Amino acid sequence: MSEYFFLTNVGNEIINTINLSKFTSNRLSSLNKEIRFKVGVYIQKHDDIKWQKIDEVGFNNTNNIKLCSTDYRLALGQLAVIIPSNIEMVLNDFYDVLPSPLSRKIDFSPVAERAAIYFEKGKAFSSYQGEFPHQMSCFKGSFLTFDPLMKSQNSSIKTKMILINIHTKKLNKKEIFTLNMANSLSNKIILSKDYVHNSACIVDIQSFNDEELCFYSKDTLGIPIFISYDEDRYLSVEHNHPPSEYFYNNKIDGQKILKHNWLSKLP
Amino acid sequence: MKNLIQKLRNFNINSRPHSFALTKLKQIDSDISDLFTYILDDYETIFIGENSLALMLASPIECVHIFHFFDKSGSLINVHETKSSDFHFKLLITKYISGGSKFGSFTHHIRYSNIIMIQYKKLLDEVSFQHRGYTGYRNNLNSGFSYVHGNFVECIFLKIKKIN
Repeated sequence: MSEYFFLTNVGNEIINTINLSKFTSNRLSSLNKEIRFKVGVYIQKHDDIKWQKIDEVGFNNTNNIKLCSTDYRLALGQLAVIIPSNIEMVLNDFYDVLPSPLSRKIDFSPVAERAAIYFEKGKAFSSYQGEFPHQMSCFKGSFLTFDPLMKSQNSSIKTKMILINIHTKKLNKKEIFTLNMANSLSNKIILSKDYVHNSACIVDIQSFNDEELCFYSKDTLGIPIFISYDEDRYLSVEHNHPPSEYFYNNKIDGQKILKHNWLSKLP
Repeated sequence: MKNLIQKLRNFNINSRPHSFALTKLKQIDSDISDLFTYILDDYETIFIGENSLALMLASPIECVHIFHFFDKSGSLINVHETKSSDFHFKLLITKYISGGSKFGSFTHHIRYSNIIMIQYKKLLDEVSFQHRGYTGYRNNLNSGFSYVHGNFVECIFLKIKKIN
């Protein structure tokens, strides 16, 4: 398994930062060695199918690489994909197919090679350990998640649900896809938002009391991130578990059954 | 060869008691919970748990949510049970629920009625549920909760009602 990372502009003066360490987290203590790598930063414009390199960054005698969304003037919902690569690898200025990320695993630890992904607004910030698995970027797939991270928030708090979609296979054109938010009981669609491959689809959600919500796309897969914030001093960010995490054994079959049951019901 | 031996040795040392690979080979006849933490000393803790079968079937089904609360030394101090048919169940943890303890840990499991277990036996024989859940913390009632998803070591709820 190897992992991509990302930066995006989610709007409302929320800044996205990512911190990558040269030491693999979750490693055995006996394997305390650093990994030599650099990162390439690539973007794809909304209507373009080519990846364009906008930066290439090394550690420069420090232990961390820190990248910030404001360094790259990203448009609202634009993704910058960060690719860990071999130091010796020549990173081209343009690609049709994004290179695979370097695996930074050094033992059999079952936890993914993650980065600290921060979001901050004013004096408030929050982070989570995240990644976008290379394997996920090779499939079109479908997407389903729920709203547990929006529960019991005050009415003054706003939430953004962000669907991160990275697709590294060659594209012939940018298709328009739809992300829906629906009532989980009635299956009625509450709102829909268009998005394209290799973008962040941002849904701004006001308080929905205790209504149970689901978010889905029959077009592509993606990773859901929830950012709850107020205008002043509060911000919380976390990603949802994928449906496979509801199952201990037979994860793949369990997820297939669950997604089939929901996506066949939802309009 | 030396590298391979090293990797095999690491795999053995580093294997979890219930690794992902093993779940393909061995059916676990129980549901698995992450271990969550609560803090009530000037903080509020809320937990959002999943009704796994309802989510799997995309239809509300009543279950009993079972919470085992442990104090800071890891001793079981209270068991709290609540019925719900919601897809996600919300529990605001109070000192009454935690048995008076201000901070410690807890697990989340679910139980369905015998009628439900028989009705969906074939499906339930194919999977074991695991409870990852989401825990929210705040120290200001006017603020929002800061949520984290379950991440800690798994606990198994055996049929003999013993936590491992």
